[in-house]
Amino acid sequence: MSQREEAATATLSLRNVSKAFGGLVAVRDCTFDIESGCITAIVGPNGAGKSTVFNLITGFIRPDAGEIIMAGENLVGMTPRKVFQRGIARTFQGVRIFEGLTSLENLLMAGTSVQALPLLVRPRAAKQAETKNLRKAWQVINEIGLVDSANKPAGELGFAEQKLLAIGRLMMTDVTVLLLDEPLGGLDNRAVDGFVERLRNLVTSGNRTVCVVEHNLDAVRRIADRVVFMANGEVAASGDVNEVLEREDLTRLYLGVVATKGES
Amino acid sequence: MSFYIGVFVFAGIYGILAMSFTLVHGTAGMFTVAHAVFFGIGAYAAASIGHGLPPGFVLFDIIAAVIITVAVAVPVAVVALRERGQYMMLVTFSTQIVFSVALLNIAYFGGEDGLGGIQPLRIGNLIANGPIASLVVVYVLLILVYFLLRYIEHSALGRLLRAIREDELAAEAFGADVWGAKLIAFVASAGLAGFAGALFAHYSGYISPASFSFQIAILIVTISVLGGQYSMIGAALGAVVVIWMPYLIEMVGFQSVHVAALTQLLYGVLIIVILFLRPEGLVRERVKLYTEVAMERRGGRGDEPA
Repeated sequence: MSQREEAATATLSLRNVSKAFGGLVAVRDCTFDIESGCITAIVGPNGAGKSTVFNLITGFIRPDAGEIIMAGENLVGMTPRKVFQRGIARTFQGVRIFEGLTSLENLLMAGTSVQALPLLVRPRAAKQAETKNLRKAWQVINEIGLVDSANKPAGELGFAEQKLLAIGRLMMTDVTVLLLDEPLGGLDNRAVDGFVERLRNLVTSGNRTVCVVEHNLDAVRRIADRVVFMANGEVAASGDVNEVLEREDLTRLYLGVVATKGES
Repeated sequence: MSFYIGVFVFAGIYGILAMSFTLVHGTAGMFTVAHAVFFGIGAYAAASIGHGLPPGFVLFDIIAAVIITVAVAVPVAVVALRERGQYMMLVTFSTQIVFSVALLNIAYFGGEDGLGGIQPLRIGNLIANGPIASLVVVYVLLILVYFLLRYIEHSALGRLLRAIREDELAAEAFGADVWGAKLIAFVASAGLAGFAGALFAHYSGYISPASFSFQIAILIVTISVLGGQYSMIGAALGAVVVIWMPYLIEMVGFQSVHVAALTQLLYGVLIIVILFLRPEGLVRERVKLYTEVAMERRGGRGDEPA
C-alpha cells in the first residue's frame, strides 16, 4: 500500500466517510484519494455506493461521519454551490442538461456570470463577464462540434450530442476536479472513442483531476489510470487500473454481488 | 363605445398582472397562487395613501404602493423558498387565505364594502379620466413593462431563472445562486403585480376584497395557460381574451344572469382545448438567438488560459 505516496499527490481525500439512509448503510467508512492529474474510476456493482460518494463530495448529501478534504479544507457541511466554488464540478447520471435552453445557453450557464445579485447591483461588471463568457462559450461549442446546434434547444439534440454538451459545460468551468457520473452510459463505440479523447484533453490541457463512476469495466480500462473498487458501500481495493482489475477475487466479487442482487 | 374601451383598459391592467406572473411562473418556474394578494396590496396601498393626498399626487402613491408590495413580498418569499417544490404553493395559498380574511375584517380597509372614491389616474395636471386617455396611459405602461421584462428575460439573470426552471439541482451544481435568483424573481414579480393593482384602483375608482380573492389568482393562471405560460406577449394576449369573455358572451345575446356561469364554463373548455391542441398556449416561448462572437485576441494580452 502506497498510502503515504498517495497522500502527497491527492487532490481530494475521503477519510472514514460513512452515510446511512435509514437502516441502509450506503457508504461505510470509506477512505481513498482522488489523485491530481489523472483519471480515477470508481467501479463496483449496482448499489455499491458509487453515486452516493459523488453526492457526498458535492454537498448534495451530508455524511454521517468522516471528512472530505481538498487543499487542506474540509468540504463536509458545505452547500453544492460552495463546493463548486472550491473547484469541484459534477455531471449526473443521465445528462441533466437544461432542455429548454439552447446549447449555447447551456454552456453559458456553466460559465462565470451566474450569480444573481451582482447582475442587478453591478450591471457593468456583469456585462463584461457576460461578454467574456460568450466568447468562451463559442470557443467551446466549436471544440465539441455542436456549433450548428448553438441556438437549438438542447432538448432537441440527440443523446450523444447531449453528452458532448455535458462535457462542454464542464469545459466552461474553471474547476480543477471533475466528477462524472457514468459518462459513457448509452454511447456506442464510436462515440465512446471521441468521448475518451475529449476527456483526456480535459485532464492534460487543463491540468485537471477527473473521477468517473462507471460500471462498464472495458470502458474503465480504456479511460482510467487508477481504480477505486467499491462493494457494499466499502472500498474493496484501490490502485493502478491494471493491477486492480486483474485481481480475480474482485472480478468474482463484482459478478457475485450482481448475481445475488439479481436473485433477490 | 366608451364602455368597451373601458374593458380594454382593464384587459391592459390584467395584462401587466399576467406578465408579472409569467416572470415568476413561466420564466423562473415557481408556482405561486398569491399573485392576487400582491395585486390587492398594491391596490389597497394606493387607495389608502392616495386618500390623504392632494390631487395630482397619483404617481407618488403608485410608487409607494409598489414599495409596500415589495416589502410584504420579501418575507413571504423567504418563507416560501425554504423548501423546494410544492412548499411554495402551500405558503402562497396560505398567504392568499390570510389576506382575504384580513381584508374582510379590517374596518380601515372597508371590510366587505371595500374602498371607494379613489382618485382617477392623473399625471400632474393631465387627467386620464376619460376612457381614451386611460387606454393610452395603461397601454403605454403595458408596453414599457413588456420591454423591461423582455430585457430581464434576455439577460444573464433571465437565463439563470430559466435554467433553474429546467433543473434546479443541475444549476446549483454549476455554482448558481438559486435561492438569490428565485428571491429576486419572486419579489420583482410581486412588485409589478402591486403596480398593476395600483393602476387598477385608480382606474376603477372603487376596490373590494372580491377583486383580490383566490378566484382572481385562478383567473391569472387561466390567462397564463391560455396565452402561453412562457411568453410575455402571450400573457398580454391571454388577458385580453379572458377579460373580454363575459362581455362577448353577453353580446352574443345570453341573459346577464347566465353570463357568470357560462364564462366559467368557457374558461374551462378553452383551457382543456388549449392544453390538448397547443399545450404551450397561444404564444410560445421565444428562445434568444446568439450570433457567434469572433475569437479575436487569441493568445493576445489578457487572454485567460483555455
